[in-house]
Amino acid sequence: MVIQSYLDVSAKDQLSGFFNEKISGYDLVSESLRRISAHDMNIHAFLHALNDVSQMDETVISGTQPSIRTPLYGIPVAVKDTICTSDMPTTCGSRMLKGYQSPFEAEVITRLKNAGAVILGKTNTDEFGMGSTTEFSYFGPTCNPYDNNKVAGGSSGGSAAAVASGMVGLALGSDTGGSIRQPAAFCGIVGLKPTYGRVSRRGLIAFASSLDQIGPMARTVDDCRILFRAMVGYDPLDSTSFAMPAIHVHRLAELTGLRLGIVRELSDSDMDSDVAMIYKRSIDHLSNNGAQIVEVSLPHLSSAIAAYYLVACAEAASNLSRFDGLRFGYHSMEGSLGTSVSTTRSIGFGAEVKRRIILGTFALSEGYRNAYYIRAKKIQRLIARDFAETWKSCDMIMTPTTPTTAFSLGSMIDDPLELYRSDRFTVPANLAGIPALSVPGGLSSKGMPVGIQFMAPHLWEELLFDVGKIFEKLRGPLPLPSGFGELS
Amino acid sequence: MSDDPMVAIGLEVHIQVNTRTKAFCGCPVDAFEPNTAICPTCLGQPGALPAPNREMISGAVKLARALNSETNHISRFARKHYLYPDLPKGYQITQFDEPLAFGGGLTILSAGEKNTIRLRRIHVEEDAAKLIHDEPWIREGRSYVDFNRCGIPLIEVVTEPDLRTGEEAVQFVRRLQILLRWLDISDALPEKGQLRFDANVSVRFHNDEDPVITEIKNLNSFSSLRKSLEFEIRRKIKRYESGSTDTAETVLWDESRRETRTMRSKETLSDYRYIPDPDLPVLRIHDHEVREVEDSLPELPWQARERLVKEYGISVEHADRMVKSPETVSYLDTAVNHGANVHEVIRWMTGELRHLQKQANAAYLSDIVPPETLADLLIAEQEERLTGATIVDIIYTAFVNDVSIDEMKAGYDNGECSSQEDIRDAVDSAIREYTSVVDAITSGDKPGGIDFLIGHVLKKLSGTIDPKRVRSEILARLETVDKDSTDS
Repeated sequence: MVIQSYLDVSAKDQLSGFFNEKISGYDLVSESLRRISAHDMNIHAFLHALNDVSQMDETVISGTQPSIRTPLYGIPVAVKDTICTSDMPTTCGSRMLKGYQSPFEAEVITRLKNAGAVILGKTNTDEFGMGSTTEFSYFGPTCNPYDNNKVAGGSSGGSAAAVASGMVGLALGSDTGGSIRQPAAFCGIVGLKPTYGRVSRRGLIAFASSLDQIGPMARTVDDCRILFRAMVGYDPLDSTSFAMPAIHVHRLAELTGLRLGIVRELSDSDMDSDVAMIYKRSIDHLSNNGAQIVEVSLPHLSSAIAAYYLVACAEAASNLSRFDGLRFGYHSMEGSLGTSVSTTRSIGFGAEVKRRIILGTFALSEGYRNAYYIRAKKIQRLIARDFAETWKSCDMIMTPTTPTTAFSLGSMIDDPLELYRSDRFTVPANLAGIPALSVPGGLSSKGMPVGIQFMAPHLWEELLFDVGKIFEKLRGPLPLPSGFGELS
Repeated sequence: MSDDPMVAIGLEVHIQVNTRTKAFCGCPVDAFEPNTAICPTCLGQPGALPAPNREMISGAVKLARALNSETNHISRFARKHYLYPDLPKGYQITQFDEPLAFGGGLTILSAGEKNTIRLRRIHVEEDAAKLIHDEPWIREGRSYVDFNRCGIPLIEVVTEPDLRTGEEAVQFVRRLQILLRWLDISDALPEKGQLRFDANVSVRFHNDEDPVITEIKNLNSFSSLRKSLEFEIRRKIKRYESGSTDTAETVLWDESRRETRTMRSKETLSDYRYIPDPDLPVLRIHDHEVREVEDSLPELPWQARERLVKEYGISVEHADRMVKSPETVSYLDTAVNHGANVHEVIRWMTGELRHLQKQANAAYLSDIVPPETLADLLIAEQEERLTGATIVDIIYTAFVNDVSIDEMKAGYDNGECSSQEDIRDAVDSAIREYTSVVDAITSGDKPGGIDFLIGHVLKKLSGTIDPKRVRSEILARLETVDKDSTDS
């Protein structure tokens, strides 16, 4: 695979290309759009994209000189369709919001635009972020660039596939229980779920407000870091946003002194043999290069999935009660007010969303609230405490991102419980609010990517990037999917 | 145990807080044209987030401390779910099991005795939108929604069931109203919806262990509060006497029919599925903030009432008339401290001055005449240098012509005011001029004729003297005239 375009080099190199006047934002964006129009019919990563370059911001079209104050000058970024944009529709992958035009744009979009980024388009997602395959999108599934018969993962499957296939270099996802890391792992790219509260949620259409975070997705750890830095920061209008500054550390250039936690409760039986093999190899790479491997315990790990789905569904049921068809979105005019609202919701929401609304409503109902919701919140606190305990003996925890590689399309649609269980490595970070980074660990025997997840204490994203970058180097180059950039 | 039925009334009072903006967004609270003060947050647009209004919180803390209610260091916002077109998010942001403050009380007079009505809790919440059905321009079967009211900050005060009659309930809310205005927390005008009530009432008969509690909703005036409670108590007693059982009900007060009608019975009680609002962190109120509020509290109405009675020896009724606002009390204090007689000041404040204030549409009495100046004028009156009528004249002329009262008063003091000699001259000339009237008076045919003489004298002196003085002067003169004629 020969790199033929600046779109295929890292965002860092793209920026140096700008400085050397070798390329312009115009070149990058038009190349992206060319690839989308030629390539996306097979992948279906995008729900909406700029029609042509003329829709781009004038300054980006005309200028070739980037400003050092705009770290993403002229670089195209794809955005998951759960994030509000004011000049493109925001559908959440739902019939309920088909064609919905938000009256405001998300804080992260404003920040990216201020950093010079070009919002290229909106990417496919499981409806309202609820799913792990992007098959629960009203607009149809997204395919995995490594194998078009496999899912891209989800719910940020569109963003993952768009980056993995070379249609764009950087993308935003949102992660409630693994929705950035799992598709990143399935598609062989890097994805970060930031510390809860570090990235403004204003303009992210809520799935489960206490767990949701917007995060960066990219081909390399460095690019992921560049995108993260452009979006992170306190937002006084998001009351759950951190006013605290990030923890800055000296760039970690080598692993000596790093205590890397391996979870005692995880065994080979929890994962596919291919995943287990690559996980083991990854541990060896790191320990052979100076990291100290420490066994840690997360005693409440086995309850994480149950607690996660109760908390997430309870919040989802509450958050989605605003979709009554009266002010925006899909609207059925049938019958009385009550009938019209119920028909609107019956038709507007897909099966998985309705399943979760029913589950969440039940968990909050009088007489069941204590047994389900309140108890789940208790388990959430215990899991957060487990992590706090492990940080006494390690600096970072390492697990596979997912128990398996990407599923075959359609294979999980009728088995929601098995699908829920597949999130078991990713949900603990959301429950504890800690940052977690997924970096490709290599390809399986069948040529599918396997992700390695690194979890760190609150606010230690920079350490995750440092270790991720070293790991990436030790791993060696990852074979790109066939067809990557072929149309350029 | 007495055979008299025991009535227990509890109140929930909703108070619109004087803030510039809404409870969780930046929209103004005083918009007039429907649906002009709206934004993504108060309309519940997907992706919008709430940010609490500190003015609302500090207003509630102020009220809590004035009512001796304990503020919680940590309280929490909760979502109360129900589906109705006046609630765009499908839930109301309120406080549930962790309110802002609990306990405290407000003292009323029950049959002349002090009776402290205990408070259960004080919390903050947002108002719902306004539904408009019965305007003449609205077609049958249609409803309109005005979202201007949606999200306006409310404080809710919940009492224990310590009230016994509708009259006591009204007294309680009137005293609360005075306090709210006193502390500038709310204008508390029921007719503007700034003060709204729900009442719960039970009547316990001697053999009834567990009386049924009925909730009366939709009470928007003092009179509907009193009338609905009296109606409901009578209804309960009648039911008991006729031997029929009561069912717990939520009833609505119908002002036009002056009766309550059933909204729902206990069996269909709605389940609000309360959940801590994941968009809002816990509300922390620090000790130093509470202390600052306490230190800034002015003398409270009941403290002022007690002091006025004790310090000035005035009646409770008079004190009550002064305890309308901190301004009236301080006006009285200043005038009295300046040497004026307390009864005279009260007489003026509740009489002529109030009349002038209303005529001039002035916000405060001190806009009409500063309390020190009034005191000077009243002292001059007492020393018979000025008459009441002159004082009114001075105050009025000074206010209308915007000249200094002191200047005008100085003019009167310098002899422009009637001297004893002037009065005697005027009386003499009147007696000489109207001999027939004098005869009618002295013969006893027409004793009322003296008023004619008084009027004539006053006219001559241009009203710069107390008519009483003129009367006694005339009577004294007539006596000597009588003597003169008898002698001759």
